[in-house]
Amino acid sequence: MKKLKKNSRCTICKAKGEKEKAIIYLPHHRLTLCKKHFISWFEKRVEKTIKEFKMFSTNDKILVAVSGGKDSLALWNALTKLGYEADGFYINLGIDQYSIDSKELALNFAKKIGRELHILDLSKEIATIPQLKEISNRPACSACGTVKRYYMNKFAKEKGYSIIATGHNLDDEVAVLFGNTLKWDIDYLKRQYPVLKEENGFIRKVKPLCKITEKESALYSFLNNIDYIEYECPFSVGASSIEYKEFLSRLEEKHPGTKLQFYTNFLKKMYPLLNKEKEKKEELKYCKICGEPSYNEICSVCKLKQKVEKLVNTNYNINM
Amino acid sequence: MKIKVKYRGKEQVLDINKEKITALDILKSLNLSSEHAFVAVNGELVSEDYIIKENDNIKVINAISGGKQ
Repeated sequence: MKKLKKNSRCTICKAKGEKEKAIIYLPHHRLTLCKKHFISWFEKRVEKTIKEFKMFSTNDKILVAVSGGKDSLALWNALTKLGYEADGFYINLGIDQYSIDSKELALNFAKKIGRELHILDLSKEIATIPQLKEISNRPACSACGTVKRYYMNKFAKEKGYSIIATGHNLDDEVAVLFGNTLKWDIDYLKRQYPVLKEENGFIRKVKPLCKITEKESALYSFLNNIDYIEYECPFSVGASSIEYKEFLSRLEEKHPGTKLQFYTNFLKKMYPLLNKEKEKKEELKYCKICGEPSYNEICSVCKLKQKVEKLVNTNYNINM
Repeated sequence: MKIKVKYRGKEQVLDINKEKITALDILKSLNLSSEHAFVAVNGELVSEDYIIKENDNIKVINAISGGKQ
């Protein structure tokens, strides 16, 4: 790994007078760690983030949004080890082999840690993502985000969970922050915080991995023998967030700590300024069909459902 | 020298024109940065200067979601 010198010793072991060989160097934290201490460092960092942002306590019932990828499984593993009551929620998006493989990996992992994995089949609720892409004429990622947020919130409420935890990592947050800053998208910047409070029919949403890099998350999964889906959703290829990630990664290589500083200083210095003057919020309504919170009379998922029904009734061929 | 690596769930053969190949050479050959990728040999994480041996079972992990295929 980067700049790990031959025969380097683990910083923590060294302090204890032990001689364990380091396997990882974290340049932005100036830490060289052995396997055991990397795992405990990771879990302590997650715990510290949970406490710093007052995300939840051991009294809360947490629903982890599980995709079968490294981040959501690493998060679920860490939360369980830290003593939190966390179950998984997997949405079968019906994206061919990608969904088949990721579902199997999520199920295997749930079995391994002995926690419940709830599965929601999108094809039974509305339609699969490839079908919705065709019907809605929107990019697949946009329709996917909308339905995932909707069903996650609805399901958590129905099953009595008080928290939804997602595996968004530092690189995800920094890439989004960078994109929103390039566009000076104030409305999105105002909402970029690792905790979205519960209000008006929305469950509290938290991102406990927001200070963990993508590589740290991949290393944690690898060192814990967590099998995760290594290839990406076919619809995500070419996304601008990936270009941002690669660009920021090159910057980080030259100047370790840039990403973490960009993000944490935004939260400390910019976020409070942006939210200082409370603007008149757009009035939140409740969808007259499903009753879920919505900014319109009918929420976007019910509108999608109506489109699906209309197409089915007119015998439109969308391979339903 | 030709070496087999497992990357993103698939086997690939890399042709690297060097006598001694390190883990870093493998990352470079796949155009990956050590900032977001790492190499595991026979199931263990190795440092960038690790010299690949014959019969090593090599796996490359790229942490960037949706990154280079």
